[in-house]
Amino acid sequence: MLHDELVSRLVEFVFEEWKESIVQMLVDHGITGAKSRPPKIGGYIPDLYARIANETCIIGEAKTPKDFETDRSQEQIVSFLKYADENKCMFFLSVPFMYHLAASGRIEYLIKLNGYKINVYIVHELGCRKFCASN
Amino acid sequence: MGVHKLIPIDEIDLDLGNPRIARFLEIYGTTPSAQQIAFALREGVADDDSNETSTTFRSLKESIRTNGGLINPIIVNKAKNKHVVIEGNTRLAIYKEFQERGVEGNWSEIPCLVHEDMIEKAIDGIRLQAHLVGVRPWDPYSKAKYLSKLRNENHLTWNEIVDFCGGKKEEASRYIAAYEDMEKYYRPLVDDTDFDTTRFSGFVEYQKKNIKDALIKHGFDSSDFAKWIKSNKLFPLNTVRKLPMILDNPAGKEVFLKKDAKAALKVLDSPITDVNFESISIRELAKILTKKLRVIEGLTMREYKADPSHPEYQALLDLKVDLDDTIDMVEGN
Repeated sequence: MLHDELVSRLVEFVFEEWKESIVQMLVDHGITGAKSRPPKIGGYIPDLYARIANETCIIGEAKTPKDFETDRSQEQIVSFLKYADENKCMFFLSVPFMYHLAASGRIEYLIKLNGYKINVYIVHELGCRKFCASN
Repeated sequence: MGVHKLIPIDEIDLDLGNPRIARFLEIYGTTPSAQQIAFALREGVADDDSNETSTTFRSLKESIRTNGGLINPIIVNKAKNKHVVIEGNTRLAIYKEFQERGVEGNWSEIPCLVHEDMIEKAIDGIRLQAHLVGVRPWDPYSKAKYLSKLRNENHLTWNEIVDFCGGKKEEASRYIAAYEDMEKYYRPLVDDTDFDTTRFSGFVEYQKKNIKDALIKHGFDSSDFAKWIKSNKLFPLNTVRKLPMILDNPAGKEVFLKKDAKAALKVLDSPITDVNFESISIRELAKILTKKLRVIEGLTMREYKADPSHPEYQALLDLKVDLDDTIDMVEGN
C-alpha cells in the first residue's frame, strides 16, 4: 500500500534527522496497541508523534494525493497545523515526489490563511522540502 | 520488422523524448541519476487514481525480479550506431537498478526488439499506443505535452492523432488547449522547480465553455485563472467546475476573491431548516436518493446536459466524488 510506504519514509526521515534528540516516537501503523499510538490532536490521530529533547514536538502525517484532497484530510491537517502553532511543534507531511509541490502549495496557503508560525517539512522519495512559515 | 537481440544495458540510452523523463529534466537538469530517472518513470500521479502508477511500477518490478527477466522485449531504435529506447524505459531503468543493487540474476543484458533507423512517425505510433491508450498510461500533463508536440511540431492532422491514440478529436484538442494555457499563463508565475503538473486537470476543466464564459462575463481572464490555481483558491481542483455558480452569486464571489472556492461554496449552500436530515440514516437517505434518481425524466437530464452548472447536477457530481472516495477507501484502493 502506498500509504504504508509513505509512513515508513516519514518515520525513517524523522528518525535520521532527529535521532540525537528524540525522547519518544509514536507511530500509528495499525499494529501496535492503543498505548503506543500517537495522541489524538483536534480529534484526529496523526501517523507519527515525536517528543524531542528541547520540549518541542513533531507531528507527522502521510497522505496519498487522492486522500490529501478530501475535505476530511484538509480539516485534519488544519487541526495538526493549529496544534503545531500553539505548541511550537514541527509539522512533517509525507507525500509522493510528484505531488510534493501541490502539497507544499496547499500547506503554505493554509498557514498563511490562518497566520500560523510553523516549520514544515514535506518529505518525498528524493528528499525533503522545508519551509519556515512566519506571519 | 525488428530483430530480437540481447543488448548490454550500458549500450542503450533512455528515451529523453519520453514526456515523463523530459519533464524531470526540465527540473533537475540534463544529468539526472539512475535513481531520479526511476522516480520520473514511476511517478505518473494520475489525477483520478494516484496509487495506480506506483502500484503498477511495483508489480512490474516484482514480476521482473521473480521471472528473472522480461517476458516482452523492450523496443529500441538503432540509429547512428546508438540504441535508444522507444518503448520500455521503465523496464530498462529497473534492469539498471537491479544491476546497481546487485540483485540476484543476470541484469547486464536486456531482451530487445531492435528496429533500425525508424522514422519519427513510426516512433510516435509506438509511443502513443503504449502510453496514451496502453497499459501504462502517462499522467495527463505528459500526454498533453506529447499531443501538443505531435500537433504543433510534427504537424500531424487530427485524424492521424485520433487514429494513433483512439478517443475523440475534442478530447485531444481540449488537452492541447489546456497544455497551452498552462504553459502560457501558469508557467510564468512559478519557478521551473515549482511548476506543478498535478494542477493540469484544472486547466482541462477550464476549457469548458461555460467556465470560460463565466470568467469573461465577470471581467476575468486566463491570467486570473492561472493565478487562482497558483494561489490555491481552486483547491481541490474539482472546485473549478463550480466557478460559474460562485461568480454568479455576489456573496459567493466576494468570499471566493477574499478566500477560496471552498469557503465560497459554504456561502452558496443554503441550510435546509424544515427537515432534520441529520437524524436520517445514510441507508435511508441512500434509499430515497436512489428512488428519486430512478425516476429522473429525460427532460431534466437534457437540462443538466445543456447547463452543466445546474445546481442539481452540480450536487449530483459532488455526491459522486464523495461516494467514489468512500467506496475506494472501504475497498482499500
